[in-house]
Amino acid sequence: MSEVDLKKYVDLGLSMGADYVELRFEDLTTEYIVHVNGRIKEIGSSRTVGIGIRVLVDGHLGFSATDGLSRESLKYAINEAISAAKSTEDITKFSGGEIHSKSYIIPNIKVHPLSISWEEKVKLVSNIYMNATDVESAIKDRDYCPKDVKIKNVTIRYVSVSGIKHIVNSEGIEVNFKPLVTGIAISVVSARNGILGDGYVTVGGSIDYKVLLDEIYSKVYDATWKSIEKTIAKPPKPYEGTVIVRPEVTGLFAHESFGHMSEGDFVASGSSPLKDMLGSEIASEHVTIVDSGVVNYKYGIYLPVDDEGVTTQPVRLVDKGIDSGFLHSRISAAELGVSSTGNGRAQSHRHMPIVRMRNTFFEQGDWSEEEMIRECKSGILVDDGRGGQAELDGTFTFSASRGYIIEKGEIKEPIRDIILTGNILEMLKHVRGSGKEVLIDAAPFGGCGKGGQSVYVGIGGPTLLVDLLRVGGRVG
Amino acid sequence: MVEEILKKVLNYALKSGADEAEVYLRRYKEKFIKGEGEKLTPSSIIGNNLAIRVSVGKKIGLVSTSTLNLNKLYEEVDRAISIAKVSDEDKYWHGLPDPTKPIAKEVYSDELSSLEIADMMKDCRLLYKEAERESRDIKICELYNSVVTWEKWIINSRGIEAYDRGAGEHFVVMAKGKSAKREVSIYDGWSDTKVIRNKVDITIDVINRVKTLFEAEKLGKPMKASIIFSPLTLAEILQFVFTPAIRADNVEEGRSPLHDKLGKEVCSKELSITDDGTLADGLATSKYDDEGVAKRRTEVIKNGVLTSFLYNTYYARKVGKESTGNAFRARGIVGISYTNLVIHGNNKTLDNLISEIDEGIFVMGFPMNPHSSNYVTGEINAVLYEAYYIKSGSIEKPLYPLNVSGNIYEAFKEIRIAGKPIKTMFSIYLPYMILQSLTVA
Repeated sequence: MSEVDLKKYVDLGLSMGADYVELRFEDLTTEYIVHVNGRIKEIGSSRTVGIGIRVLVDGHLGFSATDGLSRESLKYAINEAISAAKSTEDITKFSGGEIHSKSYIIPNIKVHPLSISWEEKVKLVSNIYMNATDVESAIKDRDYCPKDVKIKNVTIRYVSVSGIKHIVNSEGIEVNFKPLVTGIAISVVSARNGILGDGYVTVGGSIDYKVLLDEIYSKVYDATWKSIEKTIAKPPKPYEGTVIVRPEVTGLFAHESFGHMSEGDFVASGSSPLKDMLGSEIASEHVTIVDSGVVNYKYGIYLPVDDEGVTTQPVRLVDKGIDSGFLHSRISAAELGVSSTGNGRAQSHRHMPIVRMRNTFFEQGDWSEEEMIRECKSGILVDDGRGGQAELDGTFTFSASRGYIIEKGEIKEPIRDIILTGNILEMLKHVRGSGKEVLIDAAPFGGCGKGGQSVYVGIGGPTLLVDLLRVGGRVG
Repeated sequence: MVEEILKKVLNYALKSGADEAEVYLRRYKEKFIKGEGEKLTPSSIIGNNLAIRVSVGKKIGLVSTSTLNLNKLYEEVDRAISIAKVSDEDKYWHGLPDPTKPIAKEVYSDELSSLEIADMMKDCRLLYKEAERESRDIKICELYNSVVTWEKWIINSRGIEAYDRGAGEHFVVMAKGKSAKREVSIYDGWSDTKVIRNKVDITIDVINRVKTLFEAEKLGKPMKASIIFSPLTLAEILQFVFTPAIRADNVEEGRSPLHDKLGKEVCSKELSITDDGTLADGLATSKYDDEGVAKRRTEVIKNGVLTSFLYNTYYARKVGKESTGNAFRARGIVGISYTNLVIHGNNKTLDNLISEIDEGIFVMGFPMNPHSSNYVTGEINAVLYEAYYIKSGSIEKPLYPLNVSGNIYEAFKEIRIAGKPIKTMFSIYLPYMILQSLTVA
């Protein structure tokens, strides 16, 4: 519960002339440790407390936010929201829905990160550092071992974000939720003959602290090995053909490219090419893409309710190749005459909820990666997505930090700094198979940006076998 | 009132066991309009970012909060001290900064700070009308317009009592259209320390650029090309592949390929780069950086030779230098950022540059995906969305989007420059430049 009587201020907003008033209180604390080259570079906490206010006045929408919780601050902020609403000529409607009063908690959190002492967290990052600099262990059992490698940098980031959200509106919705996203990222930079290589692993999501530890310890040597291997990797030559994409890159296709096209605001405004495609076959039968606030895979963010107080619903965006659903806030749902799917999310109390994804991923198939490599015969395998950009017409440019050439059904030399380009609506038609294991990356480093807001999301899926993808590369 | 609260917090920290303490507060008010299709939504936000840094011996603790409630701030001080106590001792910690006299003049617009959201809405509505008048087929599909005014206080136990303020307007518009051949959407933007009066011109220009790109053709084959970059295009790429590499924290921690290049030639003699926090009317000009040190002018590259990195107080003292006034704060963490980065120009013209090229590419507008470039290795990766083919010294035709890849330092070895530096919304000021040895495909 918030420290402010939100209902009182909802009533105040109504008495000041608003027809609808919604107050969203947030008190979120971020704890962080940045550990660089064996010592703590930064350690601290950041707490943000405040209230976002959304009003309708004669059907006109206005928003304001304040960090002040006094009556004077809140009255001023409500007035600002009403003034903003009066300045617009556009009419906004909200979809109806369940009026409920609920409190949500994340299941299976036995050890909350906030319950762990700072001393213990410091010990954790120090231990990870020791492992990450252990080159002998990192190169053990590898097929080849470059000589004269020096570790130039090891950076470990620990972050946990947690607190409370309390949403009350004049329709009678009242929601309490205690969100949590926590994660660890390890970045290693190695050098060999003046060439730098970087390796990166992350673990995160709405997960128990002990689970986080088990996962990250199992991945430390990977970060070091990736950086070492990258010092011998070469940028690929331009290529078009079969590409195997590992889960992190699969997640980019699910989220950046297809997910945004399925956001209801873009569909309602006509910006998305999917507008008239519900029920159409748009992908191969091996493609099922889901967006959900709650997932059973390792390890998403847990979002049982959105920032408009709507209980989140899982949405099949693509079901076995058929375009099947869109993501909605209350506003985009009203524009298309449907119900909200619980995708109204805001970066903080200082931002208005807009249509955002939650955990977006390809569903699992029945291939092993070995089967895909054998089947591929010659091509490229790409790993470690580094983000990218996608346009609403489906055009995408994604980066992968590393990968391998595949020849005669076997993995050959490593490659680095790979760019994938194309159009998602074409690419989805060429998915020939998907792997058995779905992995979701929901670590709280970065996030998804849209409309000047960044929110934590989960992205992922299994390894995919794609018959036709374009890989940018270097000439000469 | 605010000053009193900050002093009480500082004194409480010193009484509670901190050897040194610093309190930072940034208060801001933002009026923001977002346009989706033709629908405009207004917002008004008032925010506080208060940060406390304490040292206990050579151990540092950081906290930040949005509250100005004194009792809660005392709790935050206690938290900062307890965090400092468990932190590692840092032998390079030589204390908080000392007072310095400001060099830059305040950049503040009363007109901007008094702008009402109703006036901003009226201006934005006008843009849609003007866009409609210019073209019925090409529409504004997204629009962002914000006005931010801010005040900043920094006090520390070494005697810094800095106050600063500023204001800025930011405008981004995206237009979209469809021809029989293709769908095109591009955007442009501008930032200023004064009211932006040419929003209509920017909008009409974007619409006309969409029209031009309807006629785009495919490049056909990957090629190593001479590319003329417009200031905006290169500025955004440099933000991801170059500016982090001149930050002393990345240099000291082994994440910059320039770490061992100080005093050495790192690029063409034609290239000189200055970081100038005092630039008249500069987007990032203000009296103090985020730890209360006066902003100043620092030569980073002179005639191709790397002459300095950018420092805050900690990283400067670590290597026996003075801060260059580049401290930057986010969530209480004191990092380093460029201020106004200026790439020096000459008296040539863009026409000179184009006429020098037998076969090449001219690019303008925002690139896509520049953030996948890697400053640790210097690798550029981006998509050039507005590209034109140059043949025999003249621009021949628009092209479909091109991938560009290559190494920024190899590209910097052979550059040509035309004109004076032009302001971009990233507070990077640079002329038109030709970069060689990059691959486009």
